[in-house]
Amino acid sequence: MILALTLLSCMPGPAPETLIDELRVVSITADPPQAEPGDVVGIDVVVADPTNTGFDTLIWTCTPLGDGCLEGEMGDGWGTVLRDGETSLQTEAVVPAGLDAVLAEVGGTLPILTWTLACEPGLCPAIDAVAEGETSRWLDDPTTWLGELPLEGVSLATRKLSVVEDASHANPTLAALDTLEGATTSEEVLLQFQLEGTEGVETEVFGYSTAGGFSTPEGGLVDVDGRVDLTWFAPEEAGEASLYVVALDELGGTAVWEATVTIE
Amino acid sequence: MRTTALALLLSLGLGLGLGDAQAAEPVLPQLEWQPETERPLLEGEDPAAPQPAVLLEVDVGADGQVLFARVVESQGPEIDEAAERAAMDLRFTPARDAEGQVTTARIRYGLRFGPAIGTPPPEPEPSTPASGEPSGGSDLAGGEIVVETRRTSPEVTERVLDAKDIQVLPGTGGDAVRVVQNLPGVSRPPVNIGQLIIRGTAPEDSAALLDGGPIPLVFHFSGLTTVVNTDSLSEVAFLPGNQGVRYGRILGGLVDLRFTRELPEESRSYLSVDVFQATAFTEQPIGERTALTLSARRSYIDAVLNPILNGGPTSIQAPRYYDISARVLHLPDKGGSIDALMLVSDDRFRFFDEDGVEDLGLSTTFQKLRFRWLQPAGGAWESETTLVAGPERQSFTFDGDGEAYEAPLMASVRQELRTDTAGLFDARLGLDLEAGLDRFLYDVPGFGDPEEAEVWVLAPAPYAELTWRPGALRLTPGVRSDIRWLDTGDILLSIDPRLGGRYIVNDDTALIGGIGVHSQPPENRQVIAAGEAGDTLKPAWALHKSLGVEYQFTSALRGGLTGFHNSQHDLVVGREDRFAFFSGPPDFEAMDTGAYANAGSGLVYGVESLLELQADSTVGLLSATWSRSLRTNRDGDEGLFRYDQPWVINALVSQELPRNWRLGARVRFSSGNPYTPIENRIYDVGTRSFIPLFGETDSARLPSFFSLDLRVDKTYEFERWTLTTYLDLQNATNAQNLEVINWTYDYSEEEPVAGLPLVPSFGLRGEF
Repeated sequence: MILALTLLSCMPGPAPETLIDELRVVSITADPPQAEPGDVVGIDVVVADPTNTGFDTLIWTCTPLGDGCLEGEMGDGWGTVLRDGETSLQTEAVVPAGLDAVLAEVGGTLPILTWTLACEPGLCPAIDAVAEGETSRWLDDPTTWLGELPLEGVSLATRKLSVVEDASHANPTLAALDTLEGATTSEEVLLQFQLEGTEGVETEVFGYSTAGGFSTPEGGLVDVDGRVDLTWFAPEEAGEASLYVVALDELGGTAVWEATVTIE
Repeated sequence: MRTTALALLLSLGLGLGLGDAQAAEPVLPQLEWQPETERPLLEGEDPAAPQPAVLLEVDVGADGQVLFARVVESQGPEIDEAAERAAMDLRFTPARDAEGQVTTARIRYGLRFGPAIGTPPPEPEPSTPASGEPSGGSDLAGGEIVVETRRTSPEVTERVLDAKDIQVLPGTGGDAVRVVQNLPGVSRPPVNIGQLIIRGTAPEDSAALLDGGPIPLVFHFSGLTTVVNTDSLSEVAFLPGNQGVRYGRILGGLVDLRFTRELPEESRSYLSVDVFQATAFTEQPIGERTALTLSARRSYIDAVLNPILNGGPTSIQAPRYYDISARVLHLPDKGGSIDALMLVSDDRFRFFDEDGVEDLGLSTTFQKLRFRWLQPAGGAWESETTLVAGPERQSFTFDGDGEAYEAPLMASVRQELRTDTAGLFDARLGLDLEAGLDRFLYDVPGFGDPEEAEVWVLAPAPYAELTWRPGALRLTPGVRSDIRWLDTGDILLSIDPRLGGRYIVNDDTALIGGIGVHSQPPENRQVIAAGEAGDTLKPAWALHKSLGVEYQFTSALRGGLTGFHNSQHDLVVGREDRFAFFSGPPDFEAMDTGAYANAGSGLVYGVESLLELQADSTVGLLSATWSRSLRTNRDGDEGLFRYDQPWVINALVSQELPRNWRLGARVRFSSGNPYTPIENRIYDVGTRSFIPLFGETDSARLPSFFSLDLRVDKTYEFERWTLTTYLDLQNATNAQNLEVINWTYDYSEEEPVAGLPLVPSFGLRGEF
């Protein structure tokens, strides 16, 4: 047993948790991040496809009241299928109306789930079925069929959207202070950002990349002026890398910055 | 030679009647043949002077051949060696126990060098005087045989390992309880950490005892060694189930470490060092009736590894342990024995973060005093009084934030009256009492509401047992009642009726069987937590049933086959899953974290087989167990128990070679433990965490375990001392045995954790 113990330590260099090496939904942004019953919410999804195999995407929301989702009783149009393999996708969802009574019972905040399923073409029957109009069986509870899908080539992500009586919070904005032109192999690159719209709201900023990695999975510290610095380690091989920096605040707000970098 | 029998098994009479149904009297070995022997003539010795007999301790096998002989009163190395060599050629009639079955026997024999006595085998002769004309001045003119056959145990299945045999078995490091892990009915513990998993029950459902008194820990943390030095023991008894009413408060089986009740003939001391620990031991006779034994051990693998492990910001302290024991044994003139033991044990294992703050810490420490008094109580009765008392503490700290400990201050008292006449009836009456203050705290992240209390406990358990031997049958009915009173006002009561039996079919074959109720009270903290929730708990109980056969193939080879079926009822469920062991990532959603309740049940069944070889220079063992262990939860869902191992097979052999060499090998095979597989995962973007999607509970199983262990010993004999060196290779083939299934942080692939690779252990032991 003694020899089976391993040394736990943080070594200098990229943190492996910041490397995206397979198809993954990186972020789901709801705009606005808090909604009222009956609102139309924009949903922006960022997907990383580091192996360039292409993918189909299914995006839907679920208000879990009783059995299944309330959206299933709202008629057609539940769930959006996108097959163009774009890594940045937008769609809309309608927050069910008539939730005022429920909100009063649950203390004024009701979480509904936004789901995004990204799959290599042909791997996920759910996408084809929803495209054909068969929704409830697949969208009420994805855990009933997720176990039948392979680990590789499938990414199912979820995000809670808060439905409140008085939605006033907006998404923050995240802007890079410098333009990243390129990098050399193994270079340590300092990325500096300005975060706006997070006054009085605790916010964390994290980085991901499809090659190399960021220095820590714990994110960067946001100072009082909204400045945040992250260090990215370029990979040891030349090529291209997609970088994603995501800001998450405690009220559900999200800001995403992404860039493609050439490493020489 | 006049033979005088002082057999321990002879009846002193209960006055219960002798008739046709009387059990057989034990029969002592009688000398049949002693070949011509020549005594070495020492320098300056007068060949015409009377030659005293050499007193030997001789083990006589079931076929009358001598298995082992050693000089008890030395007359010098040359004469001792000649006498021991000559003794190996002696032939006796086999001893028979009170049930008429041939058995091994240990006797003392005064050997006189000279012409042959008796008739050479295979034709047995009536017993004849063993010596020539007695010569004046000899203390052993008449000779004396003292039978020290094993007491007839009323237990259905009691496997007893002699401490001497334990030390040479491969792969066990000479440790008593690790040898038990090779016996049938014992599953392999996870990560080889030394827990006892007996007949499909959890480690906490079995017990480790010191001469019948409880000890809080049987293994040091590393699982490498028992908390008691094997050299302090005379034997280790393993009872896998259906034990008699003397033992209680457990659903499973037990290991009883038994100290010797014999005084050492001479002083003995040794120092030993190996890769893991250093040991000092001494055994000193004091006068004619008293002996003192001291032992101290300390691991130092932490001193070797810690500088290496502490090279980074987060470091591990390798397990560290020590134990100290001091024992005084006194044999009063009037018979019996008085025995006082002090045992101290301390184990520690810690992780530190980069700031030197303890991230995770485990420690177990106890200091126990044990007093034991055996004395004749009139007629055939013997009285045993045992007291075990002392503080203990098991603690767990987590991330500087959570803490859990159990620190009971308890005393255990046993008062038993018994007979062991091997006559028509024997009886046992006793009281097994535990009392004291139980203190505990469980306040760790994820556990839920903390549990903390100090509670006084009084738990008397009276028991009574009768052994009846009508002819070839032996029946042992008994009853035990366990009462537990807490100062919270909770009272728990259980009554355990049990019946064991043995039937001698013929000289070689015996049938064994038993049925009985075995109760185990819930933990005090569970009782208190349930009480605070307005619920009450009662003891869990199991109905043990077993049936088997034992067969003596030859004098050196015996075997047994036993089927068992144990049903468990009123198992306590709720919150307990938090402390369970899992062979894969735990499915917290599936855990029962509700209030404690007697809402679980279980079923364990299987077949055990054992072959034992005890030849002149060869010791061997082959055990195979097939079993199933199932549990049903609060919702009525049945599934595999987390320690279910359908197959467990062990084979050991140790061969003595010329010139004090010994070679041993052990092969182990066991099924892997079940675990719940992960089928996929969901990424929670808001918390940046991956949520595993579990498959059916315990539907997957770790790969089977295989290990080959090798051991070679070499002993060098000097005039005043001996030096033994050994090399022990555990997992000699470097098999990659998976112990736990872990996953990457994103559950994209498995990261199995393998157990120990090839581990060489080299040791030295100097004995003087």
